[in-house]
Formats: sequence, structure tokens, C-alpha cells
Amino acid sequence: MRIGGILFGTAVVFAAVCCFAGENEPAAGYVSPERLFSRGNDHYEKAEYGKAIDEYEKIPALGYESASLYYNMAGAYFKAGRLGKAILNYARAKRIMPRDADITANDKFARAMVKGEVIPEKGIWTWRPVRIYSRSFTVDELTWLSSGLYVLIIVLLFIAVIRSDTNWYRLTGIVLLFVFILFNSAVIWHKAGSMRRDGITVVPRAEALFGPFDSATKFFTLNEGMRVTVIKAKDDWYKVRRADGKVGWVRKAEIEKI
Amino acid sequence: MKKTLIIFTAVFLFVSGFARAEDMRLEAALERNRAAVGNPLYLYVTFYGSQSVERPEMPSLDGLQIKYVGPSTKISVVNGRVSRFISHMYLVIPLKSGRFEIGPFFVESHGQIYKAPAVTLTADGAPAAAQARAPGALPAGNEPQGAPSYVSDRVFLVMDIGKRLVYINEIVPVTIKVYLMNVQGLRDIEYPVYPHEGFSAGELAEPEKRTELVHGVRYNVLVFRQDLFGIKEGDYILGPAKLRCNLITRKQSSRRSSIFDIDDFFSRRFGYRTYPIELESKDIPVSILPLPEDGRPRDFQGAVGDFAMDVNVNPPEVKVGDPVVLRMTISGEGNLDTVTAPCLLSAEKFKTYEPQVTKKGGKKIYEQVIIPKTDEVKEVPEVVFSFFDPESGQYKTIRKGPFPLDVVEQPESERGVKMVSMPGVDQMFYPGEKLGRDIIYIKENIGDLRRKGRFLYRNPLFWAGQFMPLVLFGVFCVKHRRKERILRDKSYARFLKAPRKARKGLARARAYLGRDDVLPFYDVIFKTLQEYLGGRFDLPRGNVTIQVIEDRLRPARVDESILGMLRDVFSRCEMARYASSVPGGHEAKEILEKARRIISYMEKIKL
Repeated sequence: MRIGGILFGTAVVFAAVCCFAGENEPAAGYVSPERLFSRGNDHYEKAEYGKAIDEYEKIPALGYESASLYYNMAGAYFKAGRLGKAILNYARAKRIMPRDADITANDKFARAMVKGEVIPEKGIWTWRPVRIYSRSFTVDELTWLSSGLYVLIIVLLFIAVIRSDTNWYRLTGIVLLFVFILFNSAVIWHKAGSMRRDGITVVPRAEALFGPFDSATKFFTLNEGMRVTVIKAKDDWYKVRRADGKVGWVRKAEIEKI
Repeated sequence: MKKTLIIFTAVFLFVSGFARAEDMRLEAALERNRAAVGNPLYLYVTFYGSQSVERPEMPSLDGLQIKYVGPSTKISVVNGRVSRFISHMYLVIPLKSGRFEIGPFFVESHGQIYKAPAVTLTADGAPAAAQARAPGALPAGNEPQGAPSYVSDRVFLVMDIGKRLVYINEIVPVTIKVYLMNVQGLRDIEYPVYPHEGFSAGELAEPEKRTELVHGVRYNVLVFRQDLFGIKEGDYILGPAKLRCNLITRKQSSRRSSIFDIDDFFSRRFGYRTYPIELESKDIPVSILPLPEDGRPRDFQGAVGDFAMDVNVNPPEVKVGDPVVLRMTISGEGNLDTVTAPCLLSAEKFKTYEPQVTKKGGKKIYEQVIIPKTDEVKEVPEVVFSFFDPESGQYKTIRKGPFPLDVVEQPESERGVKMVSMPGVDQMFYPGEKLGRDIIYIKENIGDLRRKGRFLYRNPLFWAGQFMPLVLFGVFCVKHRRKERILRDKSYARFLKAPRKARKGLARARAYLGRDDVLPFYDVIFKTLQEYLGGRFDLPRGNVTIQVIEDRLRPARVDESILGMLRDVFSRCEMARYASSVPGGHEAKEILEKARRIISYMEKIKL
């Protein structure tokens, strides 16, 4: 009982430290993200898409983000004719709110306008059930799910210890829960990795070369809005993999990470 | 044994008979006709028809060092015809540049003199040029950099293009070949690079390995293929192609000056060495022509190649307002990137939607939704696709259809929403209604605003929280096990309870002493010690005597002073309980202190 109390006390103190750390006083001339968002919307309504983008872009620069912000920003980019940036921001919005119907519809519509179809390579992450599962939840939701299942396993273990018997249903349940947690953790790992690695082509046409230098032979072409995986970076170049598995070097300015 | 001997003799006579019958001749050949000064090469003088021919005498030539290496013999039977020969091998080392004539050569066999004409060797200071071996090989001065000088004619790069005159957007294949002969191999081969101004390059295919015979010499060849298509008319230079790799050669001794060390047979023991080299091919002039204006069809959209078209209409029977899917497949040889959707002629009676395209292998599939507006429609109109065929230099048009379509009026009761489902189209159609397509309007509220990059799995508090259930479970398990044991094991329960009971007993004794009630004081002290020691050693209280306790404590090497105290406390308690005089005051306090020290000591030691 005493140990439990100490742990609880430690956790409360730790939570307080974590919550209050990093809070800064707003500087003079500070405009709140909500105000910037409202200004952006005003410009959007007047079809001043360039100005709307300028206002929206100030919010991530302040260190804040939201699904609605990325959604509106993507809409402004789309209307301004910058398909790559639009798809990039729809992808960011989906990362935060994957089940929002408006975001999904606009993302699908924008992606349908990408020129040149690339047939993806097959693998576990392209298997439809896994893909749907992975895309339907945010990383935080999946993390909470794993955490909840883990607590459920602990509760089942408590019951097993109290009853001191061998219940095969309970044992099977624990094993299945554990396997599902492993699967869920793999999905989290893949999703979190994708967020760090996935990028979108933001220029009308990017040439992927065999090497990170201008005179290298062209290997393939990336059209605006195409999604790539960034494998590594060198100077002003990214080494990227296209959905069909082809790997080449493109200039950093042509790709923006999600 | 006798039978074997007969067979052997018969075969020998058979072979000898044919040997006499075959043509006898002498031939001389150099490994190659050019060599750099100091680079050795082999000379073979071969006599066909006999294997018992002495080696020909070699003349002494100024500027050449020639050493006899040894003979090799061979018998072969092809279609019952036996042939055999002896080949005398010489090692020739040019000592200075110049043109040398070696020979002619003479040998004697069965009383006859046979002659082979002289061979010519050109020795120079520079490595032998690759052009001497194969067309299109390395130009003079472009030898592989960093390699031993004698390999330039054994490893070279050749670039070739399918056509020198190409049309805009016409696919033209480029092959880049690496030729290898008489080297151990190449490794770390990079993809070739070459300037291709005026062209857009496709993807370089995986290289293919094969062998090729060039001017009677067999080469191992590595072939790279790439498709190009011209994007701007004009005259251009393609290449030169460059390829970097590491050349593997047999490592040779530093005592190279001695010809005895060069023998290929003996050099095997010296291992291998790699040289980074860069191969370079010749460049190729190419012209890109514009597509002709004459004969250009009105529906031509820029497709270049030789294509076929297949059209499918589904379903063939519909009601007015129902969707029909037109599936148009374009296949064939050519630049698929230039292919656009075929045209539907006279589609006024249909509502048409933008076709959706998918690319599968060498095919491009367009699926277009069309909806008949009236029941007057009897057919899907003709579908037309035009392209330019670069082989014939002419435009061609493929026409398919019209396709019969049975359209009936839709009953009033069924008019409503129709759903079409196909890749990229997932839409409701209301008869008579025009549907636009655009993005959905922006959101008015910023929603759940949060710090960028904050995720639960990066939060240390979350992980601390995850750790707590495990800790609680561990604590619970330990406590639960202890409780279970106490219930099951009475001696263990007594063992655990003994210290607490002892503390209570001592407190009670202290209370009696405070009231100066000495007799119960000694009684409580005695019983407390009996109870405590009985619990520690799992003994019934009545069996706890000083003798029994001493027997248990001695093996544990208990401090002698503690044993003394124990004896003292027990004897005084017994005296007080059974004698008439009971010591009180200071002495009782001393007994209480000793009992406390005994229990305290016993708690610290492991028994």
C-alpha cells in the first residue's frame, strides 16, 4: 500500500512538471493562432488564396497545428493551383483526423488529379485490411488502444493470481491480446516512421537521378503530388523511393516531408 | 586381361590408321598482334596430325625475348574422325617498340619438312588500341584509367542506338555494352551515364550477361538497355557513355623482369588485384525530326508508336439515365506516355464524364462513363484513336464501333438515384441533373489546436503510467504469495508473528515494572522469550528450555555474550517465579534490557 502511494505521488509530481514545462509568455505583437486562422478564412472567402496561405502558414511557424488548419491550407493551395502542396497538407490533416469525411473526400479528389499512375509494390503494409486499419486511426489512438489492452492483460493476470487456477480461455485471451498488442505496436512503428519519411512532390515535375549530382543520368520522373519515401539525405539531395520501389535522388526543394 | 589387351590394341591401330590418313600441317599464331613494350604474350606453333614432333628452333630477334614454355597435346574424335595435334608454346616479350616478323617455322615429321609462315608483332610504348580487336571499341587515348596497360584491348565500352533519325516522342532503344576478354572480371560496376540533350530518358533496365563473338574472338558482354524519346527537334550528340567499375586482374610478382615468373600457371599463387577504371565509349550523332504536318488527323493528340485498340461496352442493355461504362484499351509498341484517351464521335445523345485511366504493363486502359439521355439511342457511337507510326512515317487511325446499345425508357417509379462504382468514380447520378466536381469548402473553426510533433508515445509521463500497473502487479503477487503461505504453513505464520508478539510482551512487562508489580513482570518476560524463541525455532512453548535453545544457537555461531544473557534471564526468571524472594528495582530493569537486546539480536541474525 505504501509503495503504491509513493508511485502515485511521484506520478502526480512528474505530471505537474511535464505540464508546466515549456509554457512561454506570449511576445509583444503576438497574434493568436485562432486569429490567424480567421484571417486566412476571410481571405479564402474573397478568393485571395495567396494571402490566405500566408496567414495559415504562420500558425505552424508558431509551433501549432490542427486538422482544420491543414485542411483549409490544402484547400487554399488547391485553389491556387499548387496541387503538390495541397496533397501534402491533406496528408497532414489526415494524420490528425483520419476519419473526417471532408478531408478524405478532398484528399481523394486532389490525388485523382496527379498525373501518371504508379503501381505500388506488394507487401504487408499494402495489404488492404492492414492499410485500412492503419489509415483509420491516428498514432495517438493506436497508442491508447495498445495501452488499454495492456492494462486489460494486467487485470486478467490479477484475476489469474487471485483465483489460482488454470483457465484456458483466460490464458488464450491473454496470448491473443498480447499478439494484437504486438501487431498494433508494429502499425504504430510503421505509421510513426512513415510520418518521418514520407514526402510529397511539390513541384510540377521532378527528375529522379541515379546520383546526387546534376549531371547524373535521369532514372524516373515524379509528377506533382506523387508520394515518395525519403530514405536518406545528402547535402541538397534526398534519396527517395517511389511507390513501385524505384529509388533515385531528387533535390530537397522538390520534395516536402509530411 | 587378354580380352582387354586385344581391345586396346584394336583401338590403337584404329586411331593410328586414321591418324595417318588425316592432313598433316604446321600453323603458327600469336595471342594478339599488338602489344606494349614489356607486356608478354604467347606464341603457339601447332602441328596437326602427329604428337611426336620436336619444337621448332626459334630465331634470335633483336628487340624480342622469346622463351619456350612447353608442349601441350590433344586427341579428339569427332564423328568417328580422330584428330590430334601438339602445340609448342613460347612466351614473347617485346623489349623495344617496332614491327617484328617472327618465323617462318620448320619441323620434320616422318621424313618430311613442314613449314608455317611468319607471324607479325607490332610493339609500341602505348597500350594496344582496342580498335584492333573490335569495331566501335575504345578510341585511342581513351584507355581505361588506372588499369594495367595491357587490358585496354580486353575491356571496353560500346554504345549503340537503334536509329540515328528519330521522330519527336518516338521511343528509341539505347544499348551500352561492356566487353570483357581474358580478364578475371569486373566488380562494383556502376550504371553508365551519358549526356542525352534533346532526349528524355526512361528507366535503365537490369543489365543482361551474355557472350558475343567479335571478329572471331569470344567476349563476355554486359548489356545495359534504356529507352529514350526525343523531346525537341534538332541535331544532337548522344554520349559518350562512361562507366566506372573495378577491374580484377591476377596479381603478379614484383620480380616481373624475369620471364620465369610470368608463366600463367605459376602465377596462380599470387592472388588478385583490383583497379578502379572508367570506361568510355564513342559518342553518336542523332537527329530528332518533327512529326509531319501532312496527313495529320484532326483527332491526333500526339501518340507515337504502333498501337492497337480494343473497346468494350458494358452493359449492352440499359434504361434512360442508366450509366454505361466504355472500356478502351490501348496496347502495342511505342511511347505510352504520349497516348491520350480515344475520342467518342457524335456523343450528343449521351452525357459523358471524364475517362479514368489505369496503366497495366504495356497497356493503357480508359474507362469512361456515358449516360444515354433518351431512348432514341440505339448505339454507342464510333470510337477513334489516331497515332503516328514512326516505322512507316505515317499517321494511322483506328476506328471501333459503333456498338449496339439497347436503351429503354425508365419507368417513373424507378427514377431516382443511380450509383456508378469504378476506379476513381464513385458518384450519384440524378437524371437530368448536372454534377460539378470540386473540393469541399473550408472549415470555419480551427478545431483541436495542439503543439506540433507532440505524440503520446513520445511523452515520458505516458511511459511512467504504463510502468505502474506492472509494478502494482508485482507488489500484489509478492503479498499474495506471502498471505497464501501464512494460511498454509503454521510454523511460518508463527515465525512471522514472533517479533510482533515479543514487542507486545516486552511492553506489557515494562508496564508491570512501572507499577512495581515485579512477580507478573518476571512471568511475562519468561513467557515472552519462550513464545518468541518457540516461534523462531518452531518449538512448542513448553519445550523451550535454555538447554534446547543453546543446542539450536551454537551451530549458528551466536555471540557468546548473548548466550550468557539468555542463560541469565532464564535462570533469574525461574528463580523469581518459584522462589519466595523476588528481586526488583534495578535488577528487574536489567532483565528487561537484556530480554530486549536478546530479541533485537535474534532479529538481525539468520538462523
